Amino acid sequence: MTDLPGDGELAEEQDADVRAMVLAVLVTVVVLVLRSALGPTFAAGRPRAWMTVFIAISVQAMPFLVLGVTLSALIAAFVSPAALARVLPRRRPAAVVVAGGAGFALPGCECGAVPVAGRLIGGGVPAAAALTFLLAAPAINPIVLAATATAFPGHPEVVLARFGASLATAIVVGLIWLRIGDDHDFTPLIERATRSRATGSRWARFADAAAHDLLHAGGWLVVGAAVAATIQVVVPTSVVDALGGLGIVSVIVLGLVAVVLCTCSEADAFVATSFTSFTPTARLAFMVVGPAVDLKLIALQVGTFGRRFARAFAPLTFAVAVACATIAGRFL
Amino acid sequence: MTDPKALTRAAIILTVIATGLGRLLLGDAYRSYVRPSMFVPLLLSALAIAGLALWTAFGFDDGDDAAAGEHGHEDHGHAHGGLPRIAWWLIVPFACVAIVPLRPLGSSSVRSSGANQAVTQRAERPVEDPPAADGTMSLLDFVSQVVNDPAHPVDGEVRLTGFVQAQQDGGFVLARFVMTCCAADAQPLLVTVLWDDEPPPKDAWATVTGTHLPAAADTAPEERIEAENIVVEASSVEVIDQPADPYETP
Repeated sequence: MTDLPGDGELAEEQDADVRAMVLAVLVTVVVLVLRSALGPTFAAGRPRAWMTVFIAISVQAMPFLVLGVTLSALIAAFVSPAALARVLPRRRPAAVVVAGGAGFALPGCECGAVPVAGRLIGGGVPAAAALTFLLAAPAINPIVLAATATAFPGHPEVVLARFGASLATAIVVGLIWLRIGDDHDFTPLIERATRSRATGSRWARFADAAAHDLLHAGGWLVVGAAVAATIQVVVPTSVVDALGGLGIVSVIVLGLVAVVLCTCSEADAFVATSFTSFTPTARLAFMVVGPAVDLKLIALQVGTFGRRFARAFAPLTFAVAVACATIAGRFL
Repeated sequence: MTDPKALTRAAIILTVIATGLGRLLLGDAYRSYVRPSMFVPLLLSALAIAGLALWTAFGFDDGDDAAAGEHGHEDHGHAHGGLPRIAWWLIVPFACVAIVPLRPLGSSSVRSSGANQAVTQRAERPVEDPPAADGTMSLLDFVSQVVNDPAHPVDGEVRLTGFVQAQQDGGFVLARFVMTCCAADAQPLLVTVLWDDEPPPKDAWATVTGTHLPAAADTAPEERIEAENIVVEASSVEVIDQPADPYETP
């Protein structure tokens, strides 16, 4: 690095400069062309509706993703696996329950919780406990419960039912994962963490982990946002409303709607109140399923844990969440 | 990510995100997508991402040659050298910010079912802000009082601002979205406006001055919330520019 650059390197650097300038001009031209070509299309009608929802979900998620990625990068750079192991009980079922409780104390958002869970597993936390935390943090934190109380004025039992059903979902999924998830291979996450600990300064590791997690999770988030916007624009709500009176079917239907809509856990209670043709139990299912499994979360999980994981985890979570909401709905 | 090419690409993607966020935060554009209180979190995120872009572009060249490390696990879709291929998707929404007109939700997003349901969340709360001297009321306050408190009709002139959702015989439907977090959770409020002149075009913003016509006494409680039973007889309709806050907040 201290050598003076030779002629060849100088020429190479100049080449790179020219290339960068050409690229910048090209990008500007492409943007201007696309602007005049696509601008009118997205000015009205369904394309406009799609674009607004797509940009809105992507933008709204950014602060929460940045927060989650900061936390996950701090874990990757500054918290040793030994320290993590000291915090959690050694017996794994107990660790799952503690992780569920930790979800209450650490207000997270679903977008941020996924990379955090990934780094926890990388740091040696049992996968089942990290996954319980992943499900609990966005669902039962005080901010979400306060929003729920605001959306259902005079009905504190809805807040209690939501808290109970969501915490139960997180812990039950964790306990089930202890039994069935053993064959799932998280070694890439652990290897990456070990390798990363071996290189560079702590802050370099922090920045590297943050960039990696942000780009990885964020890319999938955008895919989730695109799918959610498409379904919001394409599927007529009259179809959904017609299914409101059908007992257990209506519970599953609103659960599926939660998967599709990708509403933030802080806002979903307000959306839940708008499903007036549905039973209270179905609306509870909407609020319990939403923070646990939706399209953007599935996409994030594919990015962090892999496709095979998401194929097993998403249906499991959905089934447990609907079951817990149905049971808790009896008290409404 | 230690391969220089991957770092350059990561820096490009991060720069596009930060630039797109910055563009939305200039002026009021971000308010077409998220609630106004998101300004500070979004600004901090944009700064953090810009900082990370700088670090990625210039901060890693202190002789770190562990480039051999990150060869893709097929399951993760890694490109060669550590930048996940999926990361390129992040460019799409933030490049769109530079390409498409930045518009809030409009008439094509209004679904008739679920309209005005936002007021049920305030069932037990009286309207907090009495109408201003000139009768200016948020659509949410107006619809809340009409639906939740039929015993106390809205007296005198009201001034309501929204966009035209549809033109009808003898008037039009005035609409506004109520948003909690972002446009994905927005819910429409709809009011019928009686107006004999030419109604403004669809999606035009308008301030309507007029008086509330109470629904017929035999209207069933569950039907009071429907747009055709919330009627304003307009004395003037003024087409305006889109307000800085296209949405109302609960």
